[in-house]
Amino acid sequence: MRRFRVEIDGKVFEVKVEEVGSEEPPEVKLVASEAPRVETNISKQKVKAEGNIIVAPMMGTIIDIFVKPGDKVKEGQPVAKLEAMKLEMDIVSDLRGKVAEVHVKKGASVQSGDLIISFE
Amino acid sequence: MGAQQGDKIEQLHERRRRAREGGGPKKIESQHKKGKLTARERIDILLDPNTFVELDPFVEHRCNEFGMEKNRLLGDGVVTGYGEVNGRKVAVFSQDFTVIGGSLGEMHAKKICSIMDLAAKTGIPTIGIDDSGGARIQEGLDALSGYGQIFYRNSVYSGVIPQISVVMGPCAGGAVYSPALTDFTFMVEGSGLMFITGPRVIKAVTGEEVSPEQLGGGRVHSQISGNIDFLANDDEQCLKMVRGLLSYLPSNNLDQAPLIDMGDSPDRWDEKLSTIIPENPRRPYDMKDVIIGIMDRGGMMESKAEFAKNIITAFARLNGRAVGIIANQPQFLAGALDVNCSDKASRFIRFCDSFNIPLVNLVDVPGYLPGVEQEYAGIIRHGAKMLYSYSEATVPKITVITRKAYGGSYLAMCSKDLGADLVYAWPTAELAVMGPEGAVDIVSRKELEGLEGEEKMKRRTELIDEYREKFANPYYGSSRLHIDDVIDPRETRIRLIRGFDLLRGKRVSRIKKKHGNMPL
Repeated sequence: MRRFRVEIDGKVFEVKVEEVGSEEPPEVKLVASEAPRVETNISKQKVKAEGNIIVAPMMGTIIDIFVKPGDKVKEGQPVAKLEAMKLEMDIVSDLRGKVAEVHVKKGASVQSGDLIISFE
Repeated sequence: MGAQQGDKIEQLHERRRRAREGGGPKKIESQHKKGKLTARERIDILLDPNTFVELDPFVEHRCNEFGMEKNRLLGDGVVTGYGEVNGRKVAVFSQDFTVIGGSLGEMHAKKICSIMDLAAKTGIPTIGIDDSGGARIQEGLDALSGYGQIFYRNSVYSGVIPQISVVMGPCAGGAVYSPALTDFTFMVEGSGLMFITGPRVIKAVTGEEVSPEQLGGGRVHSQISGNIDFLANDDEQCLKMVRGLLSYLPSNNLDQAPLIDMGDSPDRWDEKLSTIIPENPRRPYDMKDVIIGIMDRGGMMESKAEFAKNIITAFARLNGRAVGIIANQPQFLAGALDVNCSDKASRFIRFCDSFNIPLVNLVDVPGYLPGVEQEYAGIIRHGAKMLYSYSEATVPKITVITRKAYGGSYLAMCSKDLGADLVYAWPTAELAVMGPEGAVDIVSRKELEGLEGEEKMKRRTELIDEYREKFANPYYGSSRLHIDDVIDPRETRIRLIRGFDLLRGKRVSRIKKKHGNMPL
């Protein structure tokens, strides 16, 4: 609580002012044309600690395999389907290359990090 | 103007010219050859034209050891000052690799601290551009102490002003802790490098051979370590991204983010939202499609896009106002919560809460990621961070459940219990203490134990269907006030905009304390 003396038209008033909360800060307004549109098409090529392989991202069951040895695979191409936590997720290649070996069979249970496919 | 005074003014301009030269044309050429811009060119791209005001350009180091007295250059390897980004003030320091390798000595650090102090006093964001060989060894403890003073300021100004680090060159050893302490770190692929111990030390100690890029390049930190938030291809793109990020942020903790009208109607009913959830509950979908359908068109900025992709953390706008989005991504690890995504989400939540940015939580979470690996990695204490950050956050929080919301992970995605102001569910939502299969195996164990073979399987399926019918829907949760309303997916945008409109006046009083003890 703070006290102030205010004079209006020669009359003196004593007022008490209580701060009940911080004030809404003023808003800055910009127009849409000033909103920067950001290009974020950055390199998404994966860093590979393990070499030219694709491993299981999590534990689950391999319910489908889409490639065989000798197939050419592009980045972003699904190579197998993994069922985990009641969801069927594609395992997507983060590499481009020729499949050397498929290390799992349909129906196999895999742990996170298990080898799925190796490239030539 | 007298002749004498004219001379003195002329001398000033001569000094300024020298200071602006940095390490001289040869060093600048070598910087350009590496595909890097100079400290000043970077500032020019970052700031609005002709807004930069330089401070402390005549600072010199005080070291007279190891021949350093002959290697004194104006500015001491860092350019500091303030300027504007889209008309809003920011403070900036930019290390100059052409001056003694951008190495950090006593006075270099003092300049950085000085601009940080000014930024904190005036409530404007700080942007630090790192391009430095590290501590100036010739200055010994004085250089080390300089780092300490910067870390101290990074820490005490955290939550007061947004602090952004931009790593555009080497940043090794102790120097990396300044970016680590700041709110957001950008990195340029190919030139930015961050590690505590470099390849040479690693080779000497452990015998492992690793290139600097493999050890601490931009992709490593954006995909594996999660140390950075944004990765760019080059200096120019990176600085434009920094400008973009600033458009979502207020200048300080007492300010609001700028209002930017993207021209998207607040009453837009989004048809596409009703078709995103697949008919087959076993199929994943891209949660980003949901985000795009809800948010203002033309602007979204995802932080840590390539790290812990099972959760999405992004800035976007709703009717012109910045919001922070935390969303499960069913496409990765089934959207389950794990150690890395808990860290990623918690830090983002706390940033938004510090700076008055409301939270939108989009939930499709099957649970915590099971496995020995996760348990050993400490999912208990890491997962706890999400509970803590959401409970702690007093900004407006609205949760939308699109599909699964099971068990502890449902709480961790900001249920009503953790202080969500409004919780909406789509008709496809399934809220339950656990998935129907698991629940049936527990609650009907006795009954199922008495059966065998096909009969058992059949009964189990029946019980699962019954359970799903009864509990795994949004209406059971709504009857208990865990959900405020079940909404048509197409009206999500409208509901969120109106909700945040209401919540703008939100007030929360908590028991005063020094600070809590967040699990780490």
